[in-house]
Amino acid sequence: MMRGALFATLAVVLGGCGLGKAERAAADSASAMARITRLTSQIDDPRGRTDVPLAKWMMPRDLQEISGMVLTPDGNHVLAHGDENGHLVELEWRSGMVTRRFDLGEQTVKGDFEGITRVGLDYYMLSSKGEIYQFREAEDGKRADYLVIDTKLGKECEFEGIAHDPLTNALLMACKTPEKSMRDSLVIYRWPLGDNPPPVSRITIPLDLVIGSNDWNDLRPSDITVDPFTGNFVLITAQERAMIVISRDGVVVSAGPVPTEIPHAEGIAITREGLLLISAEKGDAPASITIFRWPHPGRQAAAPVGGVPTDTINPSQP
Amino acid sequence: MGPFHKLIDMLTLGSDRPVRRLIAYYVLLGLVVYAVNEVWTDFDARLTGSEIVRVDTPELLQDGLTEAPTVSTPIKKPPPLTLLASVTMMLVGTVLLMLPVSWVYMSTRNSRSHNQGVVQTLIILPIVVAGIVIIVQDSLALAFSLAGVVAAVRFRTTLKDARDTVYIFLAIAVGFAAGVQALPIAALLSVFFNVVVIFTWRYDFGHNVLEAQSSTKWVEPLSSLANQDADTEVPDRDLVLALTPESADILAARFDRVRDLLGKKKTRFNAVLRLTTDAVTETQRMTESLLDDTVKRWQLDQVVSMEGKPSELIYLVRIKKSMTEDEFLTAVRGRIGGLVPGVRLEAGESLNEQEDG
Repeated sequence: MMRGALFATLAVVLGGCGLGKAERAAADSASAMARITRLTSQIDDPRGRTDVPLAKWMMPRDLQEISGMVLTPDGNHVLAHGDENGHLVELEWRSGMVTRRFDLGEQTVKGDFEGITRVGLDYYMLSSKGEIYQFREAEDGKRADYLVIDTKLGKECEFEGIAHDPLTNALLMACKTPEKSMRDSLVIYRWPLGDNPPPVSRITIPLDLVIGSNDWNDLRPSDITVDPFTGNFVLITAQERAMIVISRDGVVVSAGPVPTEIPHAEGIAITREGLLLISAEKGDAPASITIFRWPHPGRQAAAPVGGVPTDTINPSQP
Repeated sequence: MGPFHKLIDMLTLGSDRPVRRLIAYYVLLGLVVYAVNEVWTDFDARLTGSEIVRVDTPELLQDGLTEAPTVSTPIKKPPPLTLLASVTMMLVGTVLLMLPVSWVYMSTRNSRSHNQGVVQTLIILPIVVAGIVIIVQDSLALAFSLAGVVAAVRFRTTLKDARDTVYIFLAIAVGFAAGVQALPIAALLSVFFNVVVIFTWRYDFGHNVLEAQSSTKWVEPLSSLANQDADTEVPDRDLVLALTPESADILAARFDRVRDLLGKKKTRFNAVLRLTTDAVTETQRMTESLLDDTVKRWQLDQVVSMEGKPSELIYLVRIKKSMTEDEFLTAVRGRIGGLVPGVRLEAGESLNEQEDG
């Protein structure tokens, strides 16, 4: 009896251990190559639908509450972060393979982080209070030094997303909950970079005009990015599951639902290949990054993303 | 433990009260952790398991569009030295947090319910549990293996006291917390548990209102020790004589504390007179007549009859201040010396003995 139990235990242990480390790495590598091939072939289909996900990567345990992501300089990876600390995970978006992890600060910095963007080699991570953490990539398993820029805009707004507008060289900070006087508007702050920057400005668009015919009661952006093809600003909201595209002048180009049922969309990025990456926080389902086709001038759009284009709206810009 | 002991003494101003020493221990432990944390930047991360794990082997994420998991997720382990340092810290932390629990166990148990096996288990069990949790971690296969091994080994122990079981549960909880690198939670468990146990013990929480409380049980015997005017028994004299000078001093100090607590009274008797005789009745009559004349008060404590040997009469006496012990012995020998071959006087606080015959 005893001997039988021990043999059974041994069998389970050996079975659980499975393949060796090297064999497993080789198997992973082969799977990754297969995924890349499959995704590349799908990208090249000019008439592919934009509302059907091409891939969906389930996040690792240390990134269960993914809050923001941005493409790295090589365009092949995204750098993602959680919403409670400065722990960053780099993954190859084509294959869904984690390639690097690093933290901010000697002791991992804690905060309510909501979004991340990149300007050249510099990354800017935004907290909900309007503090911007500037840093550069660190090696795998290392820690990166950072610089904190306090925009002092936390009193006016609770922020949820950040992007870089290369044309104006300004950081765009999407406001989730503006102060009372701006509650009925979609608000985006511009934080200029560089030497002798111009003053901070903001884009405010009346919510009624943005919502249009959609049945949303409110709009609280959870992230913002810049369309690399048109220069438009693309915003998503978690609660309304909305995707809004506005021009640099503040004209609403389109407003509609996100391509598919994505719970609590918290991050957005658009690749040079014309793919839309949407990250979702844990919520009811595990955190994930879902990849869609993004309608750009070179693609024949089969189904428009973000609803139909709305009428041109004149925004107010202070 | 010498320097550590001295530090605790310093923090408690030399007090030997268990609660103060327990608080001092936790304070000292907290200070040590704080100091180490200030010097060693990675300490906090190691303590809470939040160190950054390197991507030694690229980790392929699960494809959410397919039904089944595509590939197994490799188990990532930190470098061996880092792992060694973390595990050592966990195990040492476990012992440091369970020590005060074992002290509280020993302090709050009476001699009958005290179980040395439980005390040692409280120290050892969390180490083993932490070790198992560290080894198993995320591996479902290892968890099943562990269940198989435990089922094969079969160990069962019946604990007499339900409270012992609670202590064992705490040991397991601390071990688990240490195993998942959540030592701060283990520390909180240890402190909170001890505080609750001490308070329930101190105030005898949950006692039966129809029975005397443990504190009141001792009132009567302690009063009898302190209140010498009452008509009560004295402590066992043979037991007192059997004490070593050191233990007698300790006992005397305790009695003094009891007297301080219940009121200072003079001792009722200051000497014990032991007479060995073959004529018990005659000796008793003559002795009591003598004691009436010579001492302030007296009391026959015991008559010890031994077959084939002379009997022994034992009197408790209070000798007058005007009479020395030698004068009293001389008077005894003069009055009943013919009947009593042996006279022994144990007098004074140090129970000086003077023998005759």
